[in-house]
Amino acid sequence: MLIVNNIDVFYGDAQALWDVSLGVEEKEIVTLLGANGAGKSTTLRAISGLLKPRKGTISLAGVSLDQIEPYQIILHGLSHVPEGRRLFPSMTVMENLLVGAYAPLAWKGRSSSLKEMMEIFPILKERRDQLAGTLSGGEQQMCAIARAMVSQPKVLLLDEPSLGLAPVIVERIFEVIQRINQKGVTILLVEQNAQLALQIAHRGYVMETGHVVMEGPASQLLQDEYIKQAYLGL
Amino acid sequence: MLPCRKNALRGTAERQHLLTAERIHMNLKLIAEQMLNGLVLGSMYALVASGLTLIWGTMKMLNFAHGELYMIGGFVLYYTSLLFGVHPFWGILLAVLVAFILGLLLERTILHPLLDKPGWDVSPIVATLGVSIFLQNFALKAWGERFKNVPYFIEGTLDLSGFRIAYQRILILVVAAAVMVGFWLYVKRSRFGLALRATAQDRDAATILGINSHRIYLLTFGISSALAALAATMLAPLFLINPWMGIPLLLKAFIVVVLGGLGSFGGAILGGFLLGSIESLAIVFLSSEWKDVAAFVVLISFLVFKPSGFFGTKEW
Amino acid sequence: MSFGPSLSTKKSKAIAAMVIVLLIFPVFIQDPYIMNIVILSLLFAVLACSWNLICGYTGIFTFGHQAFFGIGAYVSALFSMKLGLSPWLGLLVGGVAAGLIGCMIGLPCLRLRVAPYIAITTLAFSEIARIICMNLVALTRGELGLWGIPEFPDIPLWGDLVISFSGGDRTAYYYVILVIFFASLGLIGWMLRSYIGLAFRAIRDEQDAALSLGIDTTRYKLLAFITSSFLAGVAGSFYAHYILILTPTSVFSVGLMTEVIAVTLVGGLGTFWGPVIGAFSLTVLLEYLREFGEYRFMIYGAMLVATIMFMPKGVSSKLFPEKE
Repeated sequence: MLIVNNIDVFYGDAQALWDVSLGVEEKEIVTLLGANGAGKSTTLRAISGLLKPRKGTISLAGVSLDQIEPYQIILHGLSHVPEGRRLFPSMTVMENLLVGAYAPLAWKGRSSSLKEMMEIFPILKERRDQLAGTLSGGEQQMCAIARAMVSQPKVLLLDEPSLGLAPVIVERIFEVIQRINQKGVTILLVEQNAQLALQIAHRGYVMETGHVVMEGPASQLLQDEYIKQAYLGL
Repeated sequence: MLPCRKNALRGTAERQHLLTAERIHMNLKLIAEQMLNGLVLGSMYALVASGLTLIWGTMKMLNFAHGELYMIGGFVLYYTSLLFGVHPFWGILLAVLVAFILGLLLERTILHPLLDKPGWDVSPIVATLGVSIFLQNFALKAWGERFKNVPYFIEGTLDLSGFRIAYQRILILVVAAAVMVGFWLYVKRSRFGLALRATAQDRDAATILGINSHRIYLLTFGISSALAALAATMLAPLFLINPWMGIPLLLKAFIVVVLGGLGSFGGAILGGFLLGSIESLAIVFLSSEWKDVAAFVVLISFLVFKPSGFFGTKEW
Repeated sequence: MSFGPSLSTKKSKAIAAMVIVLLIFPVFIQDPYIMNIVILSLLFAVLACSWNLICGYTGIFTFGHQAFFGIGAYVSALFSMKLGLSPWLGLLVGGVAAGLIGCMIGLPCLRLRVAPYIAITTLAFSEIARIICMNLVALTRGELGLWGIPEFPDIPLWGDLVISFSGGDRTAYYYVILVIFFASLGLIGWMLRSYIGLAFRAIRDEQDAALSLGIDTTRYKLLAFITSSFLAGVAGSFYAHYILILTPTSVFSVGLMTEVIAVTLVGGLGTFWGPVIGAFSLTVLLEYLREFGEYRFMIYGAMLVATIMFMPKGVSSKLFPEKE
């Protein structure tokens, strides 16, 4: 469904990705692993249009994402929860979610979508009028995911959802991710916490310094000696 | 004028007491009238400043041509009234429209290409300075250096137990209040307002949620220019129209924006009234020559104690 | 110890050529009109370089730099007119006065971090200066104009030979401003290559990091204020004894500031030669545009826009694409 084909991405004159390819099938959870600076976030940003690849293509269900304007990508059913959550700090939780419904089709059905989000994330219902900048880390992550889900995307990109969160909260977030996937949403998950990620994912890719170095079913990756040493600390 | 007390039966002391009381009463009246004038003027400063703060909030740049967009609004009103003899309402409408379109054009042709290139922290300053010089001299060439006069929209004065205020000035206050409150509500409630605020707070996050930030910038510039032009048309009957009328307004708008906190719409409103009040009080207690110095001194003192303005450098 | 980049050969050749041309050019050209343009270009270059020091190199965007120019001008003029001070000393006194005011203005600015706030504070100060100058008519004659400012006194050489500043010949003035120009560039260059320059750049790029590295940002910021205003003051003093008449509008106006900004930014903010290139280009351009009569400033404005659109980082970075 989502196909990234041999992309090269640059930050100005500095190359960040070399020939990166990956694919995500419908209703899969695919995880993208790697150390800091491996290029995982860069890959997601290229997919969601914040960066344009200098070479290669990115397509979603046949539509070339790298050929259209970044703000139109959400219209094709792809949502991105960026690294660091990037909530709008001076807006309330409710307003943040509303922005999630900005796209024309989503706007029409916004009252029911918002209600649904409040049910999936009851904590947001409690905090609906609170400024997003004042939420705790875990609440912010919930809000960011909810905001991305309001438009009822087919594909969800998640960039390091566990970053900076306590293990208990991380578990809850991963539960939510699985629930979302069970509802039929395809997920591409970037994570540093390889253990957890491989536990919920179907397949995985491993990146190092801008290259994809490994791929395979999650169960296989969990058993792999190199992965165990490098990323699982075993 | 103090009426003469010729009643020789009253003692000197009592006479002096009466004179002082009258003087105080008169001074209070003078102060009140001036303050009211100051508020009227301040509401216009707020209007002009809100456009400036709008652009800063979304695009993080200072528009040095803002004063000229104000000026063009004034000239459009003048010429529509002169050439077509229509009711000033149409002149105001046309002025706002022309400024809006001019703002759109400026953003699209000049600022948009500079936007994502290196040097963005300084390039729009030179660009808008260039536009400002161009527009001032265009106005000079096209419309001449003679100061032009626009008649009051409403004649007459309202007299409330000794307090007198021209209907024109009341109109200004009403229009300012209506526009600013209306705009504020619109930004808070509408889908466009949501997009505007989102773009201002986090452009990338807004983009991935489907907001076309370039279009937001375009409209922001247009709206900002329209607000400035509206202020010009409202003030036109009070001040004379000339190619350089934008310069002092720009300076005052900068002061207001800083007083209120960069990017804060509410701050621009408060700051505008504050500046207007300071100016009017300075006129009463000092003289009109020194009123600007008073305003500047207050500004500097303010910044020394609260370096981020009333509401801080705020994202709204 | 030198902290700046060493000059490339191409660049040093160009600089050498420029110095030679500047030194010998009056031998070939004595037309007072052209002299005047070059003198004004050099004057603007000094003014722009001084602003570039605090804005381009230290990162403090001031918007009232013209005040120091004006203070230097009026102080030197008034001292020489009322107290009989020699204009030569006036250059120094004007500079020092401006430097002191610069220090005073710099103090409240130390706390401000956001560029527009500093810009507006300094603008406020300069407007206060302008209005005071305008209103103290007894002293400065306000907008009526302060005239009768003495020229530089003639310098007797040997025998009957005298360097004369009066009369239509501007050559002597040219060499004075040239000396000021070289001295200013020398001072700025020396500062930038020393530890001071490093501190300036550190403050500009990462002020918090600079603080944590033990750089006394207060001291260096004040130094930037004082130096840049001193140089502007000297330029102003020269201007007073050159043009021989002053009005508040001619030396304190915001229009002068926008010229300085245009000159520096078009030439290249934060580059050494940018302001010089900008000063010469724009002064000459503006003169050339006189041909177009009433369209002169419209074209000037349009060209400013065009220049910045094609060279957002200024002319200097196109000519000398090295990092400074």
